[in-house]
Amino acid sequence: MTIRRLAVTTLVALLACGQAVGAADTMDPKLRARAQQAVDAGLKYLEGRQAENGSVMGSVGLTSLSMRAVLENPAGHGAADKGVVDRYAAFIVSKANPDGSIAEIQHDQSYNTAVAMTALAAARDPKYATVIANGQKFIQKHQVDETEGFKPVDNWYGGLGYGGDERPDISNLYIALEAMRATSLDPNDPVWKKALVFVDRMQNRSESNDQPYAGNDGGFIYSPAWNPPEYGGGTKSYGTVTAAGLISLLYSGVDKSDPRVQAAHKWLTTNYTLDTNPNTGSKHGLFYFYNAFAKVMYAYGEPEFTDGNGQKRNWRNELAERLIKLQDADGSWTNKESSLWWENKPELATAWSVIALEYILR
Amino acid sequence: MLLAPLFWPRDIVSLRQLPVCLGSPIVTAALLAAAWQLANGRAIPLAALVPACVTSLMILFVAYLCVILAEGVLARLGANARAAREWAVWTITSVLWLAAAGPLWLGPVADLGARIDASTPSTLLACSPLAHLAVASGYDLLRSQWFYGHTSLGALQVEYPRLTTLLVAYAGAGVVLALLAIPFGRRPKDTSPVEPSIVQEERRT
Repeated sequence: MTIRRLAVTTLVALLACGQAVGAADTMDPKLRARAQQAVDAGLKYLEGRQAENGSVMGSVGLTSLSMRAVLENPAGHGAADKGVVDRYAAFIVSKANPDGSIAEIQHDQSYNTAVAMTALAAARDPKYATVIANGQKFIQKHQVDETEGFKPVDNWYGGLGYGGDERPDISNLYIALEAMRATSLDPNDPVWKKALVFVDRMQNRSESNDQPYAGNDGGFIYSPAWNPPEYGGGTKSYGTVTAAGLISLLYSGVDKSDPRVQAAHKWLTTNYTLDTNPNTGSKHGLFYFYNAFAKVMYAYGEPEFTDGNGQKRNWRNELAERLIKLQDADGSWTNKESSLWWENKPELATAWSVIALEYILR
Repeated sequence: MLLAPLFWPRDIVSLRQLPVCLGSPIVTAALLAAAWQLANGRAIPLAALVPACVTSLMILFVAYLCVILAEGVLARLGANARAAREWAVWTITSVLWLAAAGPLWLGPVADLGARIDASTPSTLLACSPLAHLAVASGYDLLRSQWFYGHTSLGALQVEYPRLTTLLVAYAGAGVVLALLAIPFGRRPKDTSPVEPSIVQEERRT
C-alpha cells in the first residue's frame, strides 16, 4: 500500500515536472540565473530614471512600460518597489482624460492609453478599475468601424492607428488588443471580431486576405497596401509586424491550429534571425521585435522551433543570450544603430528588453 | 492657404487693405472645408475649425507683412515697383512652401540631428506652417498615411509645438513686422511702362 502510494506520488510529481518543462525550465539553468540578473539590473536602471512626479521622461508610454516591467518580474516585487510603482501609477492616472484616453499629449492617444491600461491591469488594484474601463471605451470608440463611416468592405475597417482617426496599422492594433486582453475585455465584445477583419487583411495570405495586394508567404505587412519607407515600402512581409500580427490572431481567440496562425508562425520561424528585424536587413525596430517575439513565442507555447535551415532552436535560450549580450554596464539597453521609434532612448529599449526577458523566464 | 501670397493684390496701396487680403483666403478655406465635409459625409468639428481658421489668419498676416517688407526693401534697393512686387510675392510664397514642406524634406536631417540633440526633430517641425495648421486642427500630420509613408520624421521622437505658444509667436512676429512695415505701407505709384495689350495692338493694325 505504501509502495503504491509512493508510486502514485512519484507519478504525480513527474507529471507536474512535465508541465513545467513546457515553460521556462527548458532553459539552461545558468542562463536562466543570468537572465534574472539582467532583469534585476534593468529594473534598477529603470527605477533610477523615475522623475520626481513619478514619470519616466514625462511620458505616459515610457512610465507605463517601466511600471509593467517592475510588476511582471518573475522574481516578484517587494515592498521596496511599492513606492516606485505607486508613483508610476499616480502619474499615469493623473493623465487620464475625460474622453477616456490616458495620454499627456494630443497625439498617440491610442498607443499611450493601451500601454497604460496594460500597466494598470498588472497592478491588480481595484482602484484603477474606472480608469481602465474608460480606457477600454476610448479604444472601442476609436477602432475604425461604422461610427466613422466605414464598412467591413473598407480595408481600414477594424484597425486602429496611433491616435484613433488616422490610418490604422497592425502595430497599434496589437498593442490595443494586448491591453484589451490584459484588462479582461469580454471575449464576445465586437472589438475582437472587427479586429480580425483588419488582421486578416494585413497577412500575406490570399486565402484569408481579400485585398488585391495580398501575397502568399504567411507574413504580415504594416498597413493596407503599404509598409513604412524605412522598410522599403511596398507589401513585403517583415519581422516586427508579423510578430504583432500573430499575437493579434492569438489574442483575438484564433486557435493555434488555424491555418492563419500556422502560416504566420511558419513565416516567423523560417525567417528567424535576431541580428536584424527579419526580412528588412535593418536594425530599425530591433528591440520592438525582441519584445514582440518573446510575447508571441510564449503565447504560441512551443519551447523550440525549426528555422529555415532545418536547425532546432530554443527561442528562450537564444533570445536571453542575445539580450544579455546587448545589455550595457549600467543595466540599460539601447539601439545603437537606429533612432527610429525612440529605440535610441534607453528608457524604452530597457523596458522592452526587461519585459521580453520576463516572458522568457515565465 | 499656402498659395495665398500669390494672390496678393498687385494694386494694393495701403496697410488698411490688409484685412480684405486676409479675409478672402480664410473664407475660401472655410468653403473648401465645407465642401470636404459634404463630399465625405464626415463633420469637421467646430473645435478644430475655429483654431485652424485663427491660425490660418495669423500665418497669412505674417506672410503678407513679409511681402510688404520685402517689396519695400527691394524698392529701396532700386527695383522698379512692379518687379519688387513680383519678386516679393514669389520669394515669400517659396519660403512659405519650403517651410511648410520641411517635415518631408528635412526628415533625414532630423534623423541625423536627433542623434546629437533629441530636440532637433521637434525644432524642425516647429518651423513648418503646415505643422502649425495641423496642431490647430488637432490632426496628427506626421502619422497620417501620406506623411508616415514618405518621411521618417513620424518615427522619431517629436513633440508638436503648443497652440498657445504658436499663437503668441505669430502675434509677436506680427507686431514686430507691422512696425517695420509702416514705412513701406504706402506704396509709390507704379511708374513702370505698361506694355500694350494684344487688343490695343490689334486696334492699331
